[in-house]
Amino acid sequence: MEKLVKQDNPMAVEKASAGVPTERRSQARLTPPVKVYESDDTVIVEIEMPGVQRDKIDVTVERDELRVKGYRTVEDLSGVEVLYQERPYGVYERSFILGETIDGSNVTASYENGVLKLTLPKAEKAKPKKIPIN
Amino acid sequence: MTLPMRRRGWNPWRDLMALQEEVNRLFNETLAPATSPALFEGDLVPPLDILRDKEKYVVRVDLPGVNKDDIDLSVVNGRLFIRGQKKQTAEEKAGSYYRNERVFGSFERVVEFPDPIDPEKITARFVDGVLEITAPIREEAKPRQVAIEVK
Repeated sequence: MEKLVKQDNPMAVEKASAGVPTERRSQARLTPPVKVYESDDTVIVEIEMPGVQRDKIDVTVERDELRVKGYRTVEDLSGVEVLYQERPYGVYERSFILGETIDGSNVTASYENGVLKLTLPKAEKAKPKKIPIN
Repeated sequence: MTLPMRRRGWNPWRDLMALQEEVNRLFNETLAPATSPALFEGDLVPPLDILRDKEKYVVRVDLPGVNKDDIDLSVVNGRLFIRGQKKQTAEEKAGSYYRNERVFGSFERVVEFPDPIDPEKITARFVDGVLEITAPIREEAKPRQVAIEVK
């Protein structure tokens, strides 16, 4: 089965350091982990973007490119001392090139508990068809 | 006859040893008293932040895709244990997967606070895959200004 979804970003999570000023921290580019699996009719793409509010997520399909962006909430740190920091801040970004087997015009998305789930319907010709035997 | 100038000998090993000592110290040092959370206890290690202000500590943990009911929080001897399971849905497991970068399984992190907290007053909420735990500092441990009279 030829590639259904080809993505062009390597996986690399950038950690923000506590010393970086907030404005710059919130611009850092983060690469979110992704899981892609398929069923007969669809290809599902799950993207982990914790700390992003629903209305701060952008999903666009332009020609054959599916692009996802999620802006992490920057918490107010005035009067607060940061003792330990591992969580990254910035913008989650990931893009995928959709092959011919995906119907890019009917992508749907849902977001729960920090995971964005994109449902990409397969184009008719890509769905397995049962051939009846006479 | 002038004596050759003798410079304090440069011992190349001295610098190397100093570097070694620094690195050793870095590894041995626990960050801001005893907040080096245990790392390799579970299948996944969710990233964690610890902040404080005068009244309380706030701990935030990234737990995307975890169900609230699969998170277990407890305080034992002043230490906060954050444990749980990140599960795949049946649908996720059944589908044949093409690429997987998500990590699933059990997780455990332990946070030891520098100042004693009041376990009865700890609250937690889970929003957008981020677990936020608020632990108020015990009254008697809060910073107080004490006027010292100099006689």
